Amino acid sequence: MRKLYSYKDLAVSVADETEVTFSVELVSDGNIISTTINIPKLPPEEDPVIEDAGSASIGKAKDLRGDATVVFSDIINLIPQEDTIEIHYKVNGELVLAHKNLKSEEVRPLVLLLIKFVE
Amino acid sequence: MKAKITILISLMVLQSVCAQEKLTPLKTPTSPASSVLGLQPTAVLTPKSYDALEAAVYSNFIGDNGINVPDDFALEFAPYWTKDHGLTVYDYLYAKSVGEQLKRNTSFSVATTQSLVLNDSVNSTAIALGIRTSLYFPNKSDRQAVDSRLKELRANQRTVSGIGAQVTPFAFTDGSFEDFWAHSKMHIESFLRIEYPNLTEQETNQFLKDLFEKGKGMGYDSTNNDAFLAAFINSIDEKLNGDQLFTEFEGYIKNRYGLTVDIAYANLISFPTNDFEFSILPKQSLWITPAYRFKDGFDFLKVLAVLRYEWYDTDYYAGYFENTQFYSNNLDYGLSAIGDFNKFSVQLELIGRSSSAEIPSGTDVQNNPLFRKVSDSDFQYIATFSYNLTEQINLSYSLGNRFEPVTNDQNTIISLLGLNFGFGAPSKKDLGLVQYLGD
Repeated sequence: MRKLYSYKDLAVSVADETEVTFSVELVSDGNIISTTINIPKLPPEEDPVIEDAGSASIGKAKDLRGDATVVFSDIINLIPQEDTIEIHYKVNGELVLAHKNLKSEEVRPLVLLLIKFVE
Repeated sequence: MKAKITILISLMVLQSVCAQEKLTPLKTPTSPASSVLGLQPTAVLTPKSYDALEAAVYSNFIGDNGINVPDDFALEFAPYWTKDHGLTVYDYLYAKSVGEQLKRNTSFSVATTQSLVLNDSVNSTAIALGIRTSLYFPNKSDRQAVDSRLKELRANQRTVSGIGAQVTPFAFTDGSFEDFWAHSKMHIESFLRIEYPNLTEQETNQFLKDLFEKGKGMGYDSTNNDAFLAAFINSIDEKLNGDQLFTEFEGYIKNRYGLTVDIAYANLISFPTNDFEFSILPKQSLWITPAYRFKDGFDFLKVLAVLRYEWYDTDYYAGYFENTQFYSNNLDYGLSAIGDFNKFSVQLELIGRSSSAEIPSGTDVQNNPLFRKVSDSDFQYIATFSYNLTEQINLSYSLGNRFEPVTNDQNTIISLLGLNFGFGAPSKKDLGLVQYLGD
């Protein structure tokens, strides 16, 4: 069974009118990722999806208050030279979470982030 | 069960009784240094960082009395992979230039022994150094194969991450599994319809029905639902064949369509008196192996060519390997075809060898040394049949005619029965890592 790495108590402080950009960065080599960001106040079809690395605007901070924003990544790594999976999740360029696991532990990790945007 | 074990042990014993000299496979060796040394190390160290390399060298080469050469030691080091580069899988598969490929694929190898036998009795120390690289030339078939596999994987990942992101809030809301299902079902259905448009109405309904039935037994607990969520998402991934897609793509990357050229060089440094002040470079080898894997009707077929050139110091061999004849130059050239048919595979090899040497033959009237040139040629052909009895056990049989060995030139027939076992990797408990990594 694939291992779920769950990070549920993440909080980011952002001012109300600030546009929030969420980014995924590949650190280790050869990862294939799909990351979906469930923004509570948006319908599912408008939730951004980041393939591998990239950024997505998720709206103004004041619209992200209340319920946690859910980020869910499906990651695989199939290159033989790499023994570690390392991904960085950032909000407006600031590191929110550095996920790292050995491939010997899980080669297809699932990563869950629950992020609260606070004032 | 006992009968099976007895048969397996009998076969192993049979192999060891009938074992002949090791065959040199028709390909560039993974560790050229071990190959030129004729070493079959129990383990090859592959440090992934300079710190690990330093530790490996220090712990193996530094002893109480200073530097010592370890016995049966092999190390392979690829500098490029000591650092992270954040490569996407496309960056990884399609390097932008030949120079970039050389940087990525070059590895250095070291092998050492204290058991290089001279004159059939004296053990001596030897070190081998090697370098290996590989160039790959992708073609249209490879692009198609990668794109189609990646497309399927991406659809699977979007579905899993999309459903995961949508159902997570319901998994942490008070209520029962039925409440969770009532909120989640439409999201799951929606992703299936978008990402898997070929699923029929009936198949989609069956998918949902099976998932619901399975989900009921997953121990839903909204106060601590990580385990439930993991099991639920895994169940979806399983039904979408995520593991199979991964395994197929991983397998393809190791054996891509198109042309690969492996190049390696190694040399042997011998210390015949076991004294570091006196060393000889008696043997050097160069391998060039182009391999081509076909597609479509012939995708079971891979064809390899090999060119192996070896230089020998004939004075060294004449001095330390009496009663054997070594040529100063050996050129091996050949072709191999490998056919894979599910559990069964066949490999046919044809290799030619051309050897030459200049041998002193006295002096002329002015006392200048004279040489005579001697040359020889030989031919080797081998057919190997392999069958995977299970995922862990492989049975193989090789039949053919080998090059004339230097020690017994009448013994050229090859008839080798082999049985290879694969055992499970050690667990975290075995390695004592539970305290650091958890269960």
